[in-house]
Amino acid sequence: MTSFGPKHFAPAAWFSIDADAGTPVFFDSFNCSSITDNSAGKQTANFSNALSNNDFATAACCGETATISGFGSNTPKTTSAVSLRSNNSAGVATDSPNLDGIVIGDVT
Amino acid sequence: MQLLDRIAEAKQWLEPHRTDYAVVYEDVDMDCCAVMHPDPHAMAALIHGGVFPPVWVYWELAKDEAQPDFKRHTRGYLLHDTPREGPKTESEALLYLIMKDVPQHIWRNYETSNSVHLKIIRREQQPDREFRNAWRIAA
Repeated sequence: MTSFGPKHFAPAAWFSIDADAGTPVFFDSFNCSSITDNSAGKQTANFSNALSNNDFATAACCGETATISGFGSNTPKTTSAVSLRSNNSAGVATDSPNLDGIVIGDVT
Repeated sequence: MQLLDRIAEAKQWLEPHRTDYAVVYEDVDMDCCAVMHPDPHAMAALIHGGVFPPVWVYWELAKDEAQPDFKRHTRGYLLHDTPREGPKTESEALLYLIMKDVPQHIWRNYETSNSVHLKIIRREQQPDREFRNAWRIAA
């Protein structure tokens, strides 16, 4: 029987970003090659090591000026990147000073 | 060693490289331009060498994923077993990430299309974000 260590349950990728700076800045990350700033409140994290399929799980949170409205909802969802959307209380796409996300799934 | 293990080892041992550059691109169907910011750990790994596979490996996986019957990657060994890229300069590392993370039609048509734009800028050249959704690349 194959034994599974903690590594198999660790996030495939994670990141913490200041998306409210003049240019988005990584506080820290793992398995990300870049972040694409698509527009206000819309970012895409690109992975260094792709996931094996696009059925991975995601979770994210952001700072007090915005709430996450979508994460991992890029259409079509791909194995090489994950999109993020953050809104303010009026539902308008807004940048967040702290944008954190984790991705859990099978790695290629 | 698998790519993810190499990435973890590079993160543990290499000082992050925060580049001063970003890549701005736009196409006719985009409401505003996009800006790609390299990850400092990825830049450090690319400059050091011996971590990332050749960029064509990512293109091959993207081709597989574009197939209508795609379920999961079956050629992941390309990421792990293809001879790794050697050390790069900062500009070579940036070019690698352009070819990896910017849509291919943007940079492949860079010299021939009149509707696609791509610019490498210094980060401080960006305006503040107040009118972020109005950003376009000046001709």
